Amino acid sequence: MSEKWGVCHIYASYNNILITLTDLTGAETVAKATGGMVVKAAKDESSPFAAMRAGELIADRAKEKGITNIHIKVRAPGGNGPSSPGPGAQGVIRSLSRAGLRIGRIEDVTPVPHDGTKPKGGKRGRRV
Amino acid sequence: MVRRQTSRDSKKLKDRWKSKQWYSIVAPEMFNRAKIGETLADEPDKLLGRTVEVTLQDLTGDFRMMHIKLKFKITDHSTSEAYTRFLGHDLTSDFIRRQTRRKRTKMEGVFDVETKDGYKIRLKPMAMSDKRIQSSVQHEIRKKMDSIIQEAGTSRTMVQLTSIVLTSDKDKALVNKIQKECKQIYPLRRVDIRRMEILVAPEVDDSTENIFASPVPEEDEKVTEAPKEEVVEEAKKEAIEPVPEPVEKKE
Repeated sequence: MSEKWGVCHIYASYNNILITLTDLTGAETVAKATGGMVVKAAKDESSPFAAMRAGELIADRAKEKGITNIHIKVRAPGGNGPSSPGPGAQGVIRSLSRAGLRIGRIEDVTPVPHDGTKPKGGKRGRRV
Repeated sequence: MVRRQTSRDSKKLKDRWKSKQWYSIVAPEMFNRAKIGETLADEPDKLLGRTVEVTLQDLTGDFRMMHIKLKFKITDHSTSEAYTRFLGHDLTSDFIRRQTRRKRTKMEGVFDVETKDGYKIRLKPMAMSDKRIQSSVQHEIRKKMDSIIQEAGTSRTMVQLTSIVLTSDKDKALVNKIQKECKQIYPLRRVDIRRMEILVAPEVDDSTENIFASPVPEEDEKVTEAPKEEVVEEAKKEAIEPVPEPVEKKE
């Protein structure tokens, strides 16, 4: 087989975005990138722009190592935190596909509690 | 600073990456030894215990099976191939979320079955009704699902049970049987086996391993699997039969 598949794990929170490209089993890491690697300001780490730049990094590294097709697993913090992915998730996917990687399945793998712990913020919520 | 570190790491990593070898992952006999994908390792022993997820669409070519994910675990390897064991299946979370709606009842159950050949399998069916139904009716339906699954499981081997769980053939599918029989209690909109887990597998003896290692002439996976699995099943039965007592292995 000349076409090698990988799995791109995208963890998009509201504070940062972490991308890990692995092989199909998830045991071998091909490339890693984060939002913090590509921008200076901490507030931009989760921005779509940082996500795109990080995605480009990943795509370069992937091509270097011969991975042409990827499945994508997107996740948000989940648990008792927010269960919708941050603003960067779409940017990563777009930049990966624009960089010429073929995309197979896209799946949401946010951890969902079957009822877990109490979310932070106290009884009366966060008071700002 | 972070950047500098990664560039240095990548130089070192590259050499290590080159020294790694690719192994193609092979599905077990019951899935016609299809090639699932590839993985890489510097030492082949590191392959053991890795799990791969693949959709049923990839194996059968049937796009209606897109939402079914099969899980395989690598148990053995040769020089260029990694052999796997079937762990069970799962539905994608978005598919389940699409089924659940307001003013409809979702009934779920967790049932353990012991198959004829000594596998302990956990099946989790999910039934959707058209309307909200009373909990007493739900209990009835759950009880019925349990009895159907027990009956289906104990009279079959693991491979046969897997094939009726995963098939799209309406006459054979376990879900259709559940739907038909539960209709007398309350009409169900849709029934799915949400999850299947193989909890305990009897220890595989050497003869089965040989079947795994020998090349199979027919490689076309485009055809539906049901008939082929039965052939495989017969071969497997012969292989398993000579064992005096199946030694159970906890995962």
